[in-house]
Order: sequence, then C-alpha cells, then structure tokens
Amino acid sequence: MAETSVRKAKKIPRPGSAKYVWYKICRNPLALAGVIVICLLVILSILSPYIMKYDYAKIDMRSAYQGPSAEHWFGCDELGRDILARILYGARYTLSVGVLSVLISAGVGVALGAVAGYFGGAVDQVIMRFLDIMAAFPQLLLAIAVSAVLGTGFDKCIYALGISGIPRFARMMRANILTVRNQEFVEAAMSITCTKPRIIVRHVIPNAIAPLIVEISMSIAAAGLAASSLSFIGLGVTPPTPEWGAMLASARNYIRLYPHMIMFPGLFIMLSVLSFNLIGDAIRDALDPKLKD
Amino acid sequence: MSEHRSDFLSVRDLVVHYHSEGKTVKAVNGVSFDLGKGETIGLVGETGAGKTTIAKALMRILPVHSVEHTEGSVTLEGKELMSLPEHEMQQLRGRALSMIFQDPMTALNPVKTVAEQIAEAVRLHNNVSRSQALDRAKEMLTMVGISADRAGEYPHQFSGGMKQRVVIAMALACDPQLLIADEPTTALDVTIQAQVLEMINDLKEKLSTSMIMITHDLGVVAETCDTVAVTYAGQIIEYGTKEDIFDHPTHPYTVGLFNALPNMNDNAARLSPIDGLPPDPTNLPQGCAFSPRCPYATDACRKGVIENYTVSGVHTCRCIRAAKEEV
Amino acid sequence: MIRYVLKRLLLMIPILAGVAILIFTLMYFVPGDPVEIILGPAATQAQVDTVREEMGFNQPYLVRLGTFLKEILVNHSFGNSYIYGTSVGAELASRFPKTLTIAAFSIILSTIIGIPLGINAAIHANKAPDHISMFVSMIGVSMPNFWLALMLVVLFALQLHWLPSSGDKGWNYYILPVVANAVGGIAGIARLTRSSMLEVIHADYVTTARAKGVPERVVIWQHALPNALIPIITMLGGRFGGQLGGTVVIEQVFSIPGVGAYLINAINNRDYNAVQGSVLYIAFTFSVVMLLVDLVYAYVDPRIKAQYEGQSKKKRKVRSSGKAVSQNG
Repeated sequence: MAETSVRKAKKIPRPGSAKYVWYKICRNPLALAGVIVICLLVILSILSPYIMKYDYAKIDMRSAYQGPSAEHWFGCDELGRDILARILYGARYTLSVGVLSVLISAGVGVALGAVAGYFGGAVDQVIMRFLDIMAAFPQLLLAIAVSAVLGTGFDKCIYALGISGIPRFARMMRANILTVRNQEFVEAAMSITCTKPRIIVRHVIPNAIAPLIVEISMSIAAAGLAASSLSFIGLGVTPPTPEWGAMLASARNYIRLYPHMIMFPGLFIMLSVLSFNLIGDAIRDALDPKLKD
Repeated sequence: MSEHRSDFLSVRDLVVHYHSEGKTVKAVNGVSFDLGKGETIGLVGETGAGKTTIAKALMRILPVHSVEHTEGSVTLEGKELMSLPEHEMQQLRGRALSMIFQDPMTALNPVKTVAEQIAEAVRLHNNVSRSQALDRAKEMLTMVGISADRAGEYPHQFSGGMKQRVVIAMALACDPQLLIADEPTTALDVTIQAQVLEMINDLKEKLSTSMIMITHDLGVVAETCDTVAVTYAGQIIEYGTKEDIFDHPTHPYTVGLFNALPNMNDNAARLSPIDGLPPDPTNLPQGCAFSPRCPYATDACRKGVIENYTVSGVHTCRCIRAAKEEV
Repeated sequence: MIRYVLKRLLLMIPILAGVAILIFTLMYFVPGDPVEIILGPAATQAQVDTVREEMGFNQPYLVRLGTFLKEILVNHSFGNSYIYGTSVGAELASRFPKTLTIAAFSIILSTIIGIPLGINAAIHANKAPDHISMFVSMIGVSMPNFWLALMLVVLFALQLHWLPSSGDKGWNYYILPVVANAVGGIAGIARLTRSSMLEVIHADYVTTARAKGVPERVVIWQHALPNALIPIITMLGGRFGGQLGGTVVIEQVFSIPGVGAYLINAINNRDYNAVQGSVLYIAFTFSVVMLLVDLVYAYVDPRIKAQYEGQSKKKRKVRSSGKAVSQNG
C-alpha cells in the first residue's frame, strides 16, 4: 500500500504495460541512446537525398579511393561515390531487413506455435517435427540455403532471413502457451467457469506476449547482423545497392590500400545492431522481472 | 539461567541495514542477547522481523551485494566474530557454528548427492580422506533416520521431511557448538514437524550443542527453548526465560501473540489477531515500532527511544508500560 | 543411460532424413535447368537431352529424391559437382576438417574466456566493472564477425605483419579467423553466464554452502556454476551452430578452403549438388553437436538424468533453479 502511493506520486506506470516499458527505457541511458541512434538513422536515411551534398549513386572517378576529408567525411569508394551518403541512404536496407524479417519470423512462428500448443496431439507433432528439421540447420546456414533458392535481392533477403527465424518463435510461443495453460491462475479462471476461448484471450495470450516482445526485440539485432553477413557473401542485397554488408563486400577487394572503405560501413552495422540490442535488453528488463537482480 | 554476559555466545547491539531500490531497509536495529553452553534461545516474531538476518549476521553470510551497514559485537567463546578475517570465519562456519535453513526444498544443492554435501563439510573441517568423510556422512544420515544406502541419491529423490533431515545432518556433521535453526519446521507437514523437532532436541542433548531456534511458532518455543527473545521490527522487545514469557508476557505485542493463538480451554468463538501490519522496515515509526498497532500507545510511545526495562530477574521488556509496572 | 543414448540416436534418424529431404526439395525448386549449368550455354539440344537422361533429371521428384537418399545411405555419396565433375563427398571430406577446426576452436575460446568473464560480472553485479564489461560484451555481440575479421586483417596482417592475411598453410593462419569468429561467442556466453549465475548465486543452497564454511571460490565454481550450466550448455550448442554458420562467412574473408568457401562458390556457380552436400554436411554436424549437448545435460543435472532413466516420474520440476533467498525475517 505504501508502494502504490509512491508509484502514484512519481507516476510510475504499471509494470508490464507499454508505458512501463517506455518508462524503463527512458530511465536507462544506454537504451535511450539506442532509441536515439535508431531514430536518427531512420530520419537521416529518409532525408539523406535532400540534405547530403553528394548523391549516394553519383559516380565521380576523380575522387575514387579518396580517404576521409572535410569534403567527404568518410571518404569515397572505388567509383568515387561518397561513402557517408551511401551509408546514410543504405541505412534503410539494413534496418528494414532486420525489422521486416523478424516480423515475418514472428508472425508465422507465433501462428504455428500457437496452433501447435493449442491443439496439441497430431497437429502439434507434425508442426513440431517439421520445425525440428528446420532447427537442425544453423540459422545463418538455413538463410544461406533459402537465399540460394530464392536468389538475391532486398525482398528475397527478407524472406530468407524471415524463414530461417520461424522455428525459434514457434517453439517459444508453443512453450509459453503450454506453461501458461498449466498455471494455477488459469485453473483458477476455469474454476470460476471461464470459457475456454475467454481464457485463451484474456489469460493465455497476454501472458505469452511479454516473452514474445522480448524475443522480437532481441531478434531484430541478430537479423540485422545476419542480413549484413548474407549480403557480404554475395547473397541477400547485392551491389550497387548501398546495403552496408554489400558495401563491405565490394570494399573488401581494396582492403590493402584503402581500409577506410571497410571501416565505416562496418561501424554503422555495429552501431545499429548495438542500439537494437540495448533497446532489447531494456525491454527484457522491463518485461521479465525474473532476470532483474 | 544465563548470567549477564555469557562467556559462550554474546551478541551486543547488532545492527544490519540493507539497501534496496535506493532505500535503506533497517532489518536489525540493536539486538543484544546471551546464550549459555547447551542452552537454547528462541527468536520469536513475525515474518520480516529480522530473525533470519540476525542469524545470517552471526554466521556472517549476509548477502554482500545488498548489505549497506552492519555493526555490533558477536563473541563466541570469547572470540569476536564480527572483526574476524574472512578466512578464519570460514573455518568457524560449519564447525563452531552452523545453520539449518528454513526451506529444505531449496537448501540442498540439486546437482550433488546428499552424502557429498554432508561430506564436504566434514572434509573442510577435519583432516580426513574422501572415503572417511563419506563414511561420516552415512553415519550422520543414519543418525537422522535415513538409511545409509540412500547416501548416493540426489536431493530431488527425497521428500521434504527427508530433505530437512539431510540439512540437519549436514549442519551437525562437524559437531558444532552453536546450531542456528531458522524455522526448521515451517516448510514441513505438521506430522513431520513434530518428528523433526524431537530429533533436533535429541541430537542437541546428545551433542550438548547450544541452539538459536528461530520461529514464529510459540508451540515450537515451548517444546525446545530455555529462553525466549521476542523480536519486532529488528529489535528484541521482550526477553526472558520461557516461563517468564509464557506465564507473564509483558509487552503488548507478546500478549497479542498469545491472544492470537487458539486456546482449547477458552470458549471464545474468535481469535484475537493483532490489528495492522508489521512496520515497513524502510520507514520505521518514531519511538516504539509497535506503537501504531498498540492498543495502549500514548504520545510518549511515539517519540523518543524506548528503553529496555527489567521486569524481574532476566526478564526484560522494551515498553514504557513495563517501566510503570516496575515502579 | 545407454538406453537413453540409443533412444536419442534413433530419434536423430528421422530428423537427419528430414533435413536431407528438405534441402533436396529446396534445391529441386531452384529455378533454372541444372543440365544447362553442367553443359554451359553452348550445348546443343541433343546433348542436353542425353545428359538429362543419363543423370536422371527427367525422372519425377519422388524417384529423384529416392535416388538421392539411397546414394547417401548406401554409397555415402552426395553425387558429383556439376561444374568440376568431382565427387562432392570427397571434396567435402577434405575441406571439412578446416571448417571444423575454426568452429571448434572458436567455441572453445568463447567458453574458456566467456564463462569466467560472466562469473566475474555476476559476482560484482551492478557495480561499475560489471556495467563496463557488460557494455563491452554488448559491443562484441553486435559486431559482425566478418567486419571484425577484416579489421583484424588490416591491423595484424597488413599493418603489423604479425600474422598472415589469408590462406591455410599453417596453424598461424587460423589465429585471426578463430579470434574473429570467437568474439561474438565470448561476449554472448559472458552475458548469458552472468544472468544464469545471477539466478543461482542467491539461491539457498549457495548460502548453505557458505554456511558450511566452503571457501568463496569453491562456492562459486562448484556450487553455483554447475547449477547455472544448463542454459549455458544450451547456448554453447546453439553457438556452435552459429560458429559453423559464421565460419562460412569467415572462410570467405580469409580464403580458407573449407566447406563454407565451397558452399558459397557452389551457390554462385549454381552447382546445386555441391550446395546440397555442403549444407547437409554442416547440418549433420550441427545435429551431432546438439545430441552431445543433450547428453551433457544429463551428465550435468541429475534431475534430467533421472527423467531419462524414467525413475522419479513424480518430479516434473526439472529446472527449479531455486528461489532467491529472502533477505529478512
């Protein structure tokens, strides 16, 4: 009772709510920095054609291989294109591949897992055995194999990564549904004759959603990394699209003489993945009190 | 009963403060008591009264990360424990003083066999081989009524009562001089509670161990203790022999505890619980910590420090009403 | 226990078969005619037809799948490379040790550095050293391994000339690849070890151990750590898969002729027999590792072992890591 009054006085939102997550992120300087970095990247990427002095695709052989300077902050690539302009424009690819592929994984995975967990029996068996098979591939390898079939390109990269992430979400959702279903408060709800659909909607899903959000937030970072790996090995998004992994793939050939071409795209991959990780961590702290010390 | 300052165990002005979420939790606030050799003192009080913290402070196994401040003096056979270097304290733990924990379900390491866990203490404190230590462990198991051929089993293979026996065997394996039993029966079924208590009593007598019995159960106190210290909000608010406390409870809280017990001889239809809740240890009331719940509280109770008054003999009480009675 | 191992081995068979069928099916639906890839664009229609007949490409899906599986089971063969005509199986067998070396050493390095780091962070939880090491490890997790590899090459090979930048002519050629591949693992394992240790470090049985007079180091390593290991081992298994996948990329950076380099090359050449073989090789290895992980569980946690041996069925609670110690009262 003392606690609630403190909570009211300081206007701390109820734990578990979206507001509470936001409150926790705001109180965590690193996560807040992550949010700011991602927002900045998104805004700069959208605005880059208007605010940048150089066009990301403009070839200018006179300034090819130029190192960083006041004119070209991050230098120029082998075709004299401004690397900063390319990085900022390219942010849209890496970020959206990360987010969209995870949405696909989560959407399909959650549906499969929920169906398996809810119906059980043969349906569960079939779905889970199929997912076992998918999970027998290391995730990046599965993405590579799917890419080999689909071919290269921005959309195909999203599908490849999205498919490779399905098993994780499905297993998680199924496990959550099973645990929640067996918990005492569900039994309690049944004992006061709540109907089954009502229990699912009112009790099972809300309780399974927190771990799902945590998993999504953590997966975006991993998907961003995987996307750049795919592009780097020539699958996924390919040059001349300024996706950061693809930029690294072409810059690699000039590593001996012009390492600046490698440095900056990689730094931005790291920065954005780091930001997603920090945000994910804060979300997990906010939603999963068990992990707090 | 015990003299003014016992040469076996003497605790003086023990204070333990934790920090938690930016606030100071005043768990123990100046606790003093003595215990003679072979005697048993009962620490009685509600959950949150600081009983376990007192025990852990004596063992010096308080959770380091959350302790803000400890002070006071604990002497065991003339040795000051609070300032002892950690490695020396470590050698005393398990041998000179050992502890039985509250919840047998979690007190045993799930990945080690019960014999290993008992034998570990034996090996740490005695210069014996591994197999000798295991023999000792089996001996201890037999002593607490577990067949020696279950020695190689893991905790999950035992029931709650059996686990508590294992915990007790572990605590007694090195013949400690002082045994701290932290609610040893709370987590057990009523039928098993009696067995375990009886066993602790027997073993204590056989090994002439002194004991601190932490409990909220006055029945347990009646069965095992010589002296009783009633704790409230991290202080001992009443202290005396078992007879003092049971026959002449003086502090309104102690009286309340007895009134909250069902009484066979009484025909009262309802129990009389103590109104209100224990105080928030991050925000203790001024003056007597019990004053917000006390039916006799006066303005004098709500300010100033309440002294410890002698009621009779060793019987003391931290209540100004006791002072009046004394006059 | 033996019965359990056998059971797990038997359970692996359908999974492996499923993996083979899945990858075959994927490759079956790849657009483009393999015969054209084999013969090149200059081939006549007659040549194409003959080869198609010879290699059975005109057979229906099920027949081809049957042949594919039979070849693997009976002849342990993944067929021949479309491009080079060489045996995919023989090629993979000679390349696999290199890939395995990188992946295995990466995971070993990750483990022996990551676990102590995580334990240390857990012991000093929420103090400055913990915050700093967790932030640094977060950077480690967020760094693309191939980029780190490139930066290591720039520093240690091109600038300092301490280590070779590419190839595999000796053990020193493996240092940079292993380090580049391990950093993410070190960081990830350190983070997981920390959170896993934090869950058990305040458990009652850890306090019990202290109360027995067990020295703090032993408390941490012998009482707390074994109970924190289950999630760590799970992660190690998964990480090993990640390292195998990562090796595919790392081999590209260092021009190491391993399975990954072969796979990427095969994808680029649309050499689908080689793709199939490489993917299967890695997936099989991963499955075996996951099997080992399952076996290690039983070794680490007697409760899991008991479940497998079917003894105490009443104990459904496998992972009761112990509630946090109540601090007061």
